[in-house]
Amino acid sequence: MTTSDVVGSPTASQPAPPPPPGQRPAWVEPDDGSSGLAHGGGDQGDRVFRALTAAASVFVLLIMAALAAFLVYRAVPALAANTANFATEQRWSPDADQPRFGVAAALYFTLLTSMIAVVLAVPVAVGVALFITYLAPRRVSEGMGYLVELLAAVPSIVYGLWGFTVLAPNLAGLVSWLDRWFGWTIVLRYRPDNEPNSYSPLAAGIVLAIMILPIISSLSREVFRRVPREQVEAALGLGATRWEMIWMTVLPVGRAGVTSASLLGLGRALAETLAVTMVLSTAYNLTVHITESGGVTLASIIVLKYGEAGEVGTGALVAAGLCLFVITLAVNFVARMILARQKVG
Amino acid sequence: MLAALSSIFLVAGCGTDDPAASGGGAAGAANCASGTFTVAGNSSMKKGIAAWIEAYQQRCTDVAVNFDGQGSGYGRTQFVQKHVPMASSLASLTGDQKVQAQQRCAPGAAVDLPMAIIPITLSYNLPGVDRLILTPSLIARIFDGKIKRWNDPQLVAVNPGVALPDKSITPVFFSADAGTSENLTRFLVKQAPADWPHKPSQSWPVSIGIGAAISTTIVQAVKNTDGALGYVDYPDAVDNKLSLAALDTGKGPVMISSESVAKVLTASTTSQDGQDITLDLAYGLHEAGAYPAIMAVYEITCTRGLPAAQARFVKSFLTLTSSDEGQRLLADARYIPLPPDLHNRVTTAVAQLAAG
Repeated sequence: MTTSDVVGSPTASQPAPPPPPGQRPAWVEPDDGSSGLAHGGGDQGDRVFRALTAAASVFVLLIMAALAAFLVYRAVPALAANTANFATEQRWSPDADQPRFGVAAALYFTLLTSMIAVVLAVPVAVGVALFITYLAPRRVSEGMGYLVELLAAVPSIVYGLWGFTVLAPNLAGLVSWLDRWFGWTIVLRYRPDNEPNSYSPLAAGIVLAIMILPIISSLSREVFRRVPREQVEAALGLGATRWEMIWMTVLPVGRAGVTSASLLGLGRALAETLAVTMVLSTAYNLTVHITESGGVTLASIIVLKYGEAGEVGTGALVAAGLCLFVITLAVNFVARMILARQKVG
Repeated sequence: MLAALSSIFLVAGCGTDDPAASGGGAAGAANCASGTFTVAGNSSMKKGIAAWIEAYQQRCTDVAVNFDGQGSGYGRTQFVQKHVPMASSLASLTGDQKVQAQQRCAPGAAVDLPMAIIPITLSYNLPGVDRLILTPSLIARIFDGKIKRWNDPQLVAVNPGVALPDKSITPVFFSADAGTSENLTRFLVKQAPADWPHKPSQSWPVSIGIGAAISTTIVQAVKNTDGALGYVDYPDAVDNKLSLAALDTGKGPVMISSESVAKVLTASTTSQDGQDITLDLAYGLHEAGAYPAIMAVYEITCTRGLPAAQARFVKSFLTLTSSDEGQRLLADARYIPLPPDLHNRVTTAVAQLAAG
């Protein structure tokens, strides 16, 4: 296709005619005579590139769909055989003559331990991010950032072993102190008369908090770094202290980003398997006393029961996995939506 | 393709007599298999099977054997779904799974072959206390949370002359579903039903104390918690030098030994259907010198119907494990070998397995 009349020349008085249907708009030679992109070959490469990237995206979607389909397919027969209400039943005996199993306990403790983790991790992570971005000298901040990221490199079973051997046995003092001074909050009351052995939702929450700290911290750092430099310097120029500057300019702008980072950390905590399995002692009764031992999460119940599960048992565990899949998907989706809306607005 | 593979092995000499074979004694693995094979089953059998595999691989150079110790139930499921030729399990095939296994092994039959006994210890952590005697009803009450301190009068009464400290008792139990929990709960139901009002189950029914997820952490919990009492498999307990309590079922305190376990097996009912041997363990036994808190480990396989290479492997491996040498390897690894009666039955049954 040859070039059409040059558009934009000082003497052109009409716009170029539209190309016939089915053809791309004609290539317009730039004013200065350079040839620009070659046509013909570029068109081909473009199509291949587009096809490949589309295929990659479709492939990922197919994997997600296949996972979901597998979960539903394996879970449905077990759910059909269940004689109890899956959502409200606390006990888990799918391989009995009358299968009775439900995720009430598992769901409750999953949400409980994750909430504890987020409540503990977010202030610390935001503090770390602010320190690194605004308050620390340059060299210190780079080193600190690197160290915090290192927390994410520790395998989860190592966290589990550490939590089981070091953290939980040493929480007795803290638990007793919390019971004495904050027992009125009911949540922190410790009722049994024996020495606390702390394989409790609180211990699991602490381990999870350490595990999700690097995620929230690095995402928050990104968010804080994007705060317009002019606003920060304007606040400082007007005589604000560091803290006032952060409170007035950084936090309002970064609020949505930090929220979405926290939600992503929550999603990670919800799905954490091995560390929680090792730190949490098993118990199926719901309780609000987070310092008392015992609990079971959706992920840990799968690990603990898989080795001995029969056919209905395996299906029941897959149903628990499906439950976790849906919850984590929802949390991640909400997080991304908040982040996306903030970018647009 | 499997047929081609099988025919290759058949041609290569499956079933030819090895002139060096000397019967059921030491050189039990005369007809070696070749290839890579996987056995799946209970993790409590890991050390025993590792000892067997090492001996087997020493005499059979062209074979690799792996053990996938994710659980008895996992092993049985893998066996029924034809992923492994042999499973190790703390419970024999029952119910629907037995029917499926029979279909899997057609034209042969699915068989359970007892190979080892694992006693369940009551391991405690009390520095300075060398001897401890526990009765089944006291064990039940401790794990159920009714007895909370070591110097409780009920414990002191059973332990004359022992200075029990004023410490709280921390029970340690298995968080995960396990055959050990199932066997111990059966024992408690038979011996102390009034104190243990729970049904036998693989998942420990009480959540008092510390629940540990894997065997390493169970041992650690007992070792590191002052005043802990946990039920630990005998091989793990001995390897980690835990203090073991003596069991008193009413006829005097008994420690774990081949003799105290053998007495229980003599009193247990052995059912044999063809080559399928299952035990109804006498958990409720009250006999002097008997320790009834034990588990039997079965190797589950097909009598016939496995592909030739797998059948050759199963037969040669089980010939080793059931031989005197194999049982001696078990004892070295701290398991309890089969008593003579049961041993004879099992070796006869193994000899009747198809060799390929």
